[in-house]
Amino acid sequence: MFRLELQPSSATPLYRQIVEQVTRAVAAGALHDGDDLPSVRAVAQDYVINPMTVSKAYSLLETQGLLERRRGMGMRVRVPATSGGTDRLALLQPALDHAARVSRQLGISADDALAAFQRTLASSAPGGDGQETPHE
Amino acid sequence: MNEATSTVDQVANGVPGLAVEANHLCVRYGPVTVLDDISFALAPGSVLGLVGRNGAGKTTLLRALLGLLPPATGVARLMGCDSRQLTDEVRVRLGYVAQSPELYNWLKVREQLALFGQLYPSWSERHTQELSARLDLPEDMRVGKLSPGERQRLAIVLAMQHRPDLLIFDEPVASLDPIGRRDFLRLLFEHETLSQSSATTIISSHLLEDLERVVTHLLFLDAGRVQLFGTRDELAEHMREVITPVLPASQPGLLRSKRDAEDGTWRLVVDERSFDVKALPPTAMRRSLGLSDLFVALNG
Repeated sequence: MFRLELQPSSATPLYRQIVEQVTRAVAAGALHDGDDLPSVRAVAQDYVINPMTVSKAYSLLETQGLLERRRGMGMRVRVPATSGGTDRLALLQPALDHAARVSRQLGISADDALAAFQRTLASSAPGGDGQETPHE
Repeated sequence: MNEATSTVDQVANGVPGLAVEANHLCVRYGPVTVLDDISFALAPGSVLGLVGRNGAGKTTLLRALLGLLPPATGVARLMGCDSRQLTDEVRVRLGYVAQSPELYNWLKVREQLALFGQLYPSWSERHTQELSARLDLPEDMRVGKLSPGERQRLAIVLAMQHRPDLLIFDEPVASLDPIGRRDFLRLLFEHETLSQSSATTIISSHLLEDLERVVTHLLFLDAGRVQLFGTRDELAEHMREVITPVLPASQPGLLRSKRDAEDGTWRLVVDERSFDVKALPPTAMRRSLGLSDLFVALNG
């Protein structure tokens, strides 16, 4: 379950904290397309903050296309499948270009290079499958 | 309607649609000016945190807004109505918690609530019972036997039970424990008004960590004057503390400067929207401020 970590005493306005945390959770895959976010009222009562602050954050996220307002039922996460996917792959591309160049220079076969990349992916996954790990 | 007439109308009758308005408000006690040229306005649904050191004039300002103190000059308006002549229509839409509320010690809590509540056409005993339950108020106890915290909670229910559209709280949570304060804040968000839209609320408090959860606007009062007024978010985004070895020339956006007695550096509070950062030496450091830090930087 996605949880906000809000700090009212921070110099960062609360609405910005909400926008940033939801945006980051979507980018990191902790929130998926179709996930529900708690209603404005529920967030306000939970964190004891002004509902208008939550509403302002949700409206901004809606404008950015990351949230969809559902009549009387809170908010639903919208991950624009195409743009989100290509954006992240585009970010990965320079590292892949570099790895490809180095493997060619070292005379490593394509199969060996792919196998090495797969092992690297497997060993660098923290929870194994990207599940959120509980923490204090 | 042309612009000239609308401006004349606004000076005479206030800007339509505003919940609270102070226009060059001055209050004097004899020769002493306690409120000096206060101007600000709140749209309906705003939550204003009124902060300032003891004796800054917070209680006086609240009383002047409510028409309990006559202004020497200037005007205050609540929901468009001059505070000196509030109509009954406006009065039933007001809820006020005074710093030391007058309560009837010989009555039971529920009797005191009903006595005051029945003055309002909209009052319902059931709604009052809900509020009392949410604030954990012992309805059958004599008012005189209540603890200071319980008296404060009773005053809060007294102010909210007739579903006012404008709530004015003078230090509402000073005697409440942290749980009681959270209960109070949650109740504020759920407050039902007669008009069905969100209430406009003014809270004076020293408990800045509570205020920063709820306010949309802040007014810093210092020696009877408005030191700073703005939305919570714009203050967080644009106010900066600057520590600099050299004091820049006085300019717009420089709100305060104070020299550190120990190391001789200057501590400034600046509004980055108008302050020219090029006036600072390269060694100057800037940092953003939470509400408590901003309060200390302005008043410390």
